[in-house]
Amino acid sequence: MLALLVLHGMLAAAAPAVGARWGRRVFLLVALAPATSAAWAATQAAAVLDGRPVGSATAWVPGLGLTLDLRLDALSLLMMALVSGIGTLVFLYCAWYFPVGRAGLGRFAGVLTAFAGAMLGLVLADDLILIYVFWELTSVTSYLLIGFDDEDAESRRAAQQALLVTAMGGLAMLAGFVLLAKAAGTASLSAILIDPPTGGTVPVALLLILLGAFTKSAQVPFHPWLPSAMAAPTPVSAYLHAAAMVKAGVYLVARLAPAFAVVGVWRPVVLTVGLLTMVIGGWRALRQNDLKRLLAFGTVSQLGLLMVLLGVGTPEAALAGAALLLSHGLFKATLFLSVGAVDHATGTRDLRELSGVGRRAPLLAAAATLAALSMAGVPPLLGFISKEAAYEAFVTGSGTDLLVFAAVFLGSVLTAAYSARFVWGAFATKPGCTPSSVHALPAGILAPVVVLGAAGVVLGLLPGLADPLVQGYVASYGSDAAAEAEHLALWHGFNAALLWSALTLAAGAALFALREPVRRLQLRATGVLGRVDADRAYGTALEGVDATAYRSTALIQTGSLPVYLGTVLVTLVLLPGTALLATSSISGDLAGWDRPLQPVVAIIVAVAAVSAARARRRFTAVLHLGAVGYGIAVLFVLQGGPDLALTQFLVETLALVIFVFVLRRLPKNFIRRPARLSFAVRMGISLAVGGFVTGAILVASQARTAPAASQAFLDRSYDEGGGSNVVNVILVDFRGFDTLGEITVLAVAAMGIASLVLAGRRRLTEQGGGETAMTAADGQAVDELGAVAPEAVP
Amino acid sequence: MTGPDDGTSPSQGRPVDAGTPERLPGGAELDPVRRSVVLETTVRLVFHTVLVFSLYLLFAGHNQPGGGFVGGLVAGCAFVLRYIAGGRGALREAVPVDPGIPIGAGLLLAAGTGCVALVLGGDFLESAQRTFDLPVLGELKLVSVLAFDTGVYLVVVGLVLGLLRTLGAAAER
Repeated sequence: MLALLVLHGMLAAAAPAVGARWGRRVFLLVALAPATSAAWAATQAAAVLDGRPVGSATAWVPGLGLTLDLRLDALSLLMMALVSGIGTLVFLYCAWYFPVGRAGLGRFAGVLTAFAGAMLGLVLADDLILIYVFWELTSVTSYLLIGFDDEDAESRRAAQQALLVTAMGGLAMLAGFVLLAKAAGTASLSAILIDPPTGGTVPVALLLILLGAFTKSAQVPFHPWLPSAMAAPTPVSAYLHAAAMVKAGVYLVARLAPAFAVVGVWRPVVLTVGLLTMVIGGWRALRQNDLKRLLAFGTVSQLGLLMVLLGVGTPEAALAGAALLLSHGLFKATLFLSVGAVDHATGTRDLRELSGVGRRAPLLAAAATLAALSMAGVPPLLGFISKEAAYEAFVTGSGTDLLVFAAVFLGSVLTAAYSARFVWGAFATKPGCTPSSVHALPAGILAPVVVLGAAGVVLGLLPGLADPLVQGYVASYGSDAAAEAEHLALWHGFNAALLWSALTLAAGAALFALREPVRRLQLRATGVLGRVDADRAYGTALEGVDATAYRSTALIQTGSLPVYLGTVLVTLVLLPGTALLATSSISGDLAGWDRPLQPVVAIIVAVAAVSAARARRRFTAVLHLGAVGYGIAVLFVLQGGPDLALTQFLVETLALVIFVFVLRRLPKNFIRRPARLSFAVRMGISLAVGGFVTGAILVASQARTAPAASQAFLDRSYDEGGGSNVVNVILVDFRGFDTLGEITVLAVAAMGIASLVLAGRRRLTEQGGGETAMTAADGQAVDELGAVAPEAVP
Repeated sequence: MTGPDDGTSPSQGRPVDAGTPERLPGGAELDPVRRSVVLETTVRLVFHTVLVFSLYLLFAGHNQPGGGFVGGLVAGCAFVLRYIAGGRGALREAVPVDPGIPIGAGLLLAAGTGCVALVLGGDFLESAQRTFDLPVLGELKLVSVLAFDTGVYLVVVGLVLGLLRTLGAAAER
């Protein structure tokens, strides 16, 4: 299993280079990855459906207890049929869909393969953390895929929206996973499902996980990203939005429902969100003119139904859900790919402009119509069987079940109506519309559409082929449930479900026939409901974040160094200072000095410090500061720390020299101007900070409760570190990691200074302001730095 | 980081006698009134000694006061002296490389030392030591952290050089 993921990764890495040479034929190469996976899954199917899941575990980060724990069971197999099976066909379709010379196809193929790999990993992962990793990988790769046309602002916005919404949900889900793993004592998914934890934080964890699933599967109110994502190339829509990415949330819910649907919060949330999504999606789909957007809203609607069926937690509904998962993958991929073909052949996707396409491309029209009929739930197609099963699951119940049934029925009527609208819009010959000019379609585009469309028919006529796959998932509700469960069949006899199916189709047809009045009604309703628009809410939220960021930046970043310093220092005095006063005391047992020379040096340091603060000329102040530093170094020597003293001397010297360099460019005297902070305030802050530091040192020096770490360092220095200078051994050995971090900071600082100074200088030379003093030291250059690209520095 | 054109422009119109070797290079760019021959010559004499001393600190640091950080600072001081005495030209002659190179090399060396330990089956940055007997010099003990310390040394030298170039040389114009 791991090998399959590695294969995806390798082909993804190779694709950009191959794509540069092969052009669009690179898709034929990368299609090997999903094809191999699908073939492997087929060989394992018999064992898996017999109730013997295939597993593999590879150590990953043993220190954190992370393993690459993969497991193929019936549900994973079903998902693999979608991810890798349909994936292979989509990849092949790509090899003929894109224009021959299109730039960036190699990169695109690489990301698409990486996405397929991430999705495969997601459905195979048996570890919560691993699921999260793959989950976010699909988010990132789908961001790149949706934003493939990166010169188009709409496309970039769509990509960003998808990323922000799904990544936000993903983070919530991670928190949920962590809570769940903590409650269960293990992160292994199969172990958690066998023995699900209860009580405590579990409901919270489930709500967080559901939030992740809802964002990923485009449930209300997070659904707008999915229609926006139609900016992506059509094969991406077919794959991400039919077979793969949006099914991730549904998959997760399907995984957890057998164990957690009994938890109090689960059912109300899943049912409310799912049913709302189903109805709203169907309603919105009905009024779209762009075929792709119509299908996108249709997907939203179907995802809502899937969420309900797989989340409600009864074996009957699970049976219907698993069947719908398969049939939706098949018919939606067919439909998206045929929209791509129509777009390819005519150059438009607007159903108001298309006319007579069905007559010119009969094969395409036949395949797409079959898929649409399957979506509408017309016998004898697979979609009909799954819809029958869905009705069966709820129609016989009472109370809540009937309410759910009513919503499912309403959603199905809408589905039937927009399916009809799709077929009519894409292929019908409309009066008063000039027939579209249709180019011939290559076989490479037609073949995947026909194969997928035909699959829906074959599985509809022979439901026994898909039945084991679906029953395998139902078995996760326990063997009793599996034994009692209905089997998928085309004919269940004359029963309530059949009646309702017929009613659905009739109502759908009526809704389609009355499309003009319905359209007017929708327009009027939009006028009333227009204010409640999730997409606009997303935009408003984003603008709100931007505006808050601007305002808070303007508030915090005033550009005044005294204010910055003052803020830091006042915080220091107020928070730790108060704590110090409240909790600590100093015993009177303090020695003034160890050697008589110490107070002498201390007085010199104090005098130099006061002089530095009082100096009028910058140079004088710097020299006095230097004196303070050297004085401290002398104190280190007296205290017996030669290493420290040596370093202090050298740093002080270099600092002095650098100060002098900068001073050449500054006015001689400090500027006398009304200060932001008055003298008294600054004096007060300084004294308070001085007092705090003194107090803190006195308290700290008496606060020792455990033996000093330094003794252990002294003991181990020579034996383990191989050196007798314990300071150096600490630096390079015991605390080597710290030192590595510190020199990294040094390197970053060096680069930062260079960019600041050189960028500031460049700006001055561009303005011809050779006489202006260089302002890098003022801190003002920071503001302008953003405008100058680092590469542009000479 | 600084580009190759830093301070490469010759001073305005003052001809340099091509026949005599330039004993105090870089001096050609300085204002003759303000340059000090004594300082320049002294720095020329002291420069290498200071550099050797910095290397001594680097190597001795494991057992006596010193180490990569201090050594790097001392080497940095040597370059500061060159720059103060001879200006940009002298600095460029002393180190003809971009400051980014020692910084990058140092970081690579320090991190690489840690990774070598990792590859050899130890923990990241784990140290090892070995004692050699050299024919004339006697016993020599090598500790693997010396390489790490050398990385620190290079980064610090690079930092000082960068400061000299940016805040020193670049500000001269």
